[in-house]
Amino acid sequence: MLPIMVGIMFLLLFLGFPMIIPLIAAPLIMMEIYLPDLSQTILAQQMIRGILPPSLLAVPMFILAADIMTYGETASRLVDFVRDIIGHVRGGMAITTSITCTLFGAVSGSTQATVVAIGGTMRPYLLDDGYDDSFTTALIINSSDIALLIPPSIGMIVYGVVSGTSIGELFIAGIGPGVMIMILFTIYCYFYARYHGIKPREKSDWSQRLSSLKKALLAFGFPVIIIGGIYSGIFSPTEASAVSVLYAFILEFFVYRNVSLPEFRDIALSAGMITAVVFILVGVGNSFSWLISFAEIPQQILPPIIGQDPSQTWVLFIIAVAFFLGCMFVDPIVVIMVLTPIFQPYVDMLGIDPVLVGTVVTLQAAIGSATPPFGCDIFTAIAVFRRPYLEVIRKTPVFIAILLFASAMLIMFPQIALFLRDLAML
Amino acid sequence: MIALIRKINEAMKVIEKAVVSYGTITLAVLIIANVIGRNVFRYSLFFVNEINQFLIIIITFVGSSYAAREGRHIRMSAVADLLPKKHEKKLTYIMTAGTFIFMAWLTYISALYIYDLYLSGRTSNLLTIPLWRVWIVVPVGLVLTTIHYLMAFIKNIVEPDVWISFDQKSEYDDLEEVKNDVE
Amino acid sequence: APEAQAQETWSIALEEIEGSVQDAWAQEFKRRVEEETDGEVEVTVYPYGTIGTGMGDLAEAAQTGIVEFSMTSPSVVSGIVPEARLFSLHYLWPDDQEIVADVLATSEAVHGPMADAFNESNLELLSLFPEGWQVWTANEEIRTPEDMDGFQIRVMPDPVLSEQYRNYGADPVQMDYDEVYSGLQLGMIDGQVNPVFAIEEMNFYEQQDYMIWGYTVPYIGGVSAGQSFWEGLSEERREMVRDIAEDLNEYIYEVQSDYNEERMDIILENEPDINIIELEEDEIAQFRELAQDAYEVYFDDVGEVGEEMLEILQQDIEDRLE
Ligand code: NA
Ligand code: NA
Repeated sequence: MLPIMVGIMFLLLFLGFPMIIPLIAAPLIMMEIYLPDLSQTILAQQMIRGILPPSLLAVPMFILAADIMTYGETASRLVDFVRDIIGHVRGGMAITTSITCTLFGAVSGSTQATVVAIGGTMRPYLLDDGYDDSFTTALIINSSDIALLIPPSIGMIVYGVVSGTSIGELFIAGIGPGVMIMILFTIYCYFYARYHGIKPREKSDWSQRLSSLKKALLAFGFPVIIIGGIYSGIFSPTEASAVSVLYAFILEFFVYRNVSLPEFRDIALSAGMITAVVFILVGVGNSFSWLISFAEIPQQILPPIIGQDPSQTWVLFIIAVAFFLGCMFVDPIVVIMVLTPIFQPYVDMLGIDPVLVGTVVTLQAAIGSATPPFGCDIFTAIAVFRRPYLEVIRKTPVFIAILLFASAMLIMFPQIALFLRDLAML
Repeated sequence: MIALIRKINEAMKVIEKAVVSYGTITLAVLIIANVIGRNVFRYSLFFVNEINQFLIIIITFVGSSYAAREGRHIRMSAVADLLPKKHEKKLTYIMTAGTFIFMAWLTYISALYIYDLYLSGRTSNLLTIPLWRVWIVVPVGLVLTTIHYLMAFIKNIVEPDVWISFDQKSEYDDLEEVKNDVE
Repeated sequence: APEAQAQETWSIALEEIEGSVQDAWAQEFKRRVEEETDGEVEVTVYPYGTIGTGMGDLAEAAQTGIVEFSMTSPSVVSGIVPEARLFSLHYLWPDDQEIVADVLATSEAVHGPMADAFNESNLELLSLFPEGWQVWTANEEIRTPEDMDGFQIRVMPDPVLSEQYRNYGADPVQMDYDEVYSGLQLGMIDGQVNPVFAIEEMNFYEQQDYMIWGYTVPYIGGVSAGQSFWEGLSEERREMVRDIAEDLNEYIYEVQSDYNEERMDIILENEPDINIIELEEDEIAQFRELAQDAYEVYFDDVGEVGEEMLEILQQDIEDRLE
């Protein structure tokens, strides 16, 4: 069943069908053939269900806030300041993008929202500096995905619940690998800029820096409000997205007076449409996931591969591969819920630290959602940036290679994840 | 007759735009109201989450129709882009017709599902609104999306060039314009 | 092991993960069904997440025949069967959980009007059983409604529940189950309410200093079959399923009581400093008085049958207490 399903998906994909079609046609046809007695209405139910989780609300809200900021002046004031500070460092803007995506993603908890909010703001500057578009989108998508590793992380919460592992310990364990990957990306950005001859800007003097700081002062309210509001318990990360819309609106409408009400409505239209384009894919993706888990396909495939008497490393390796492949097609949360119980007996039997497993799993979920063909963050990037699919994904391989290297390091040197946890437990 | 269809089409476009834009704005207003209620008045607006879910469904499925109209649904156009115009056109026939068929199928099962919901009388948990009354927007949005792909198919037959929707030829932004955002 | 080749497969969908009370019910149900049909019927258990994750998804799966049986806890199916909000009413139950189990198993309110209400939604109600008291967790001591003033507590989406907490002076907050942990960690909410096994499973206790037994209401689990499947069964098979479900009442009572005890031990082992509070009779009385107003919300919602069921239930409880 699985090969036919994947076959249908790739055929329709390459024929240039809208992504909704491969994702829904495969389960429709499979149900027609293999489960003729079941009502297909379940696929409609699962499609609707897929877009109901409240955390998804952050997506339209951050898109809206980011659009208001980029349409108006807020974003350019912020980035101009950043450019004055580190524009003269080689790869500086790319490095800034990577770090900002990681931090924003960590706080907002939504990889898609990060792609839009930070990616949308930084991308014009990166292009202007001479980075090519494929590198830019790949950088944005992959840096945003580190967000899954850094607390608060819904992926880790779900893993913690399904496997019975301490969520607090998981949260701490995610920080080490998250920072390691951020550093690896930073190094890559530096060498990329060097190799491609992307020239640093002239160093700005302090009076120039001071003047752009003054201009950007109010714009710095954003990180203060978002981070401050979330960590002081005033609002949830999801709600922070709407608060940032309010702040962007106040700045652009009342202070800078750059965005009129009709323009505001047009921005909301565009944000709403991008949301629709992405969410309908999240919806049909959920229908697809439903069929895979209902047909118990992972349960049939995985145990024979693991074998009778596996070693710790082999099990961790299979876990990594399975979660990576799963998340290429399906929402990470669903993958975690379906696959975790399958591996649980092996993890228990071999005495593998469940916190380590949780970190590996979350890292794979992050990589998978940035990996073609069906990674959700790729959809978001295409919808927002309006560039061809191949252009958006062309330069992802290096990033994915870095991430896979990080996974291998994590499996071979579990202390990358566990040392902070062990430190905290003392 | 054609004139009438055009008129209906234009009216639909206006409605879609209004629903998507004001829906998104309402979402922001409600979330902010709840934050203020909870923090300032220590009174959580218990119904906000539920209305937001309704809004998200409405924005997604009405927005899907609008996106189809604008040729904005995400697809991997790599193969089509590489082909010469003549073959690209053939591929577009297959794509629009095939999308029409599968969309119609999806619309059909969604309509059946809403009918099941109507029969079961399922309501939302807090406001106890019958769900079918809101979720009916799903088959409605999908049937409109389906029609857009049918219209795109027809447009490709009657006119030269490659059309990804009735009104749209190309689906991408110009990179030079993006850079211009900087200054 | 099944002796004959399975001729048909029944599946049952759970609202809880593997290793939960519901899972224990389903596994025992599976064992019994397969044994008593000599393997002619095979039972597949779908834990949480495989069929659906939303409230009411599982009931819908049973309604439409995607699965034959599903867990239909009253608080989860109340969007489909509003009458089930009867089990959201606070201070209806005695503190002896054995009586709760017994009344749920035998009361005419359950087998009459409640089962009829499930029927109207194409569900055949097979069983209701307690899974332990709903416990408040907080970072401050709560003993009286005064202590609860302005207390922001995450509750399930249910108008009756929300009304009751508002009557106590609390601010009931709606939040996705998966977000509660970080909500507590970041201080967005002050507390939450759930049975002990859920507090352990979701690790909520990691973020809280107090576990408070307010004796409001036990968490009640339930099992239903899809109507069309049920009607297609032979009389003999229906009898068998009903008997097994009845036999399981005692079993699941023991299981939930063991599980809750074990889970409590885990909590105490991991968080020895957590404060356990059990409200005294006079403190409970203050809450009980305030809870009554919310009963009206329920009656307004479902009409006369609500009052009728409540009366029967109260009578049954009183009879047992004597
Ligand atoms: Na995060
Ligand atoms: Na994915």
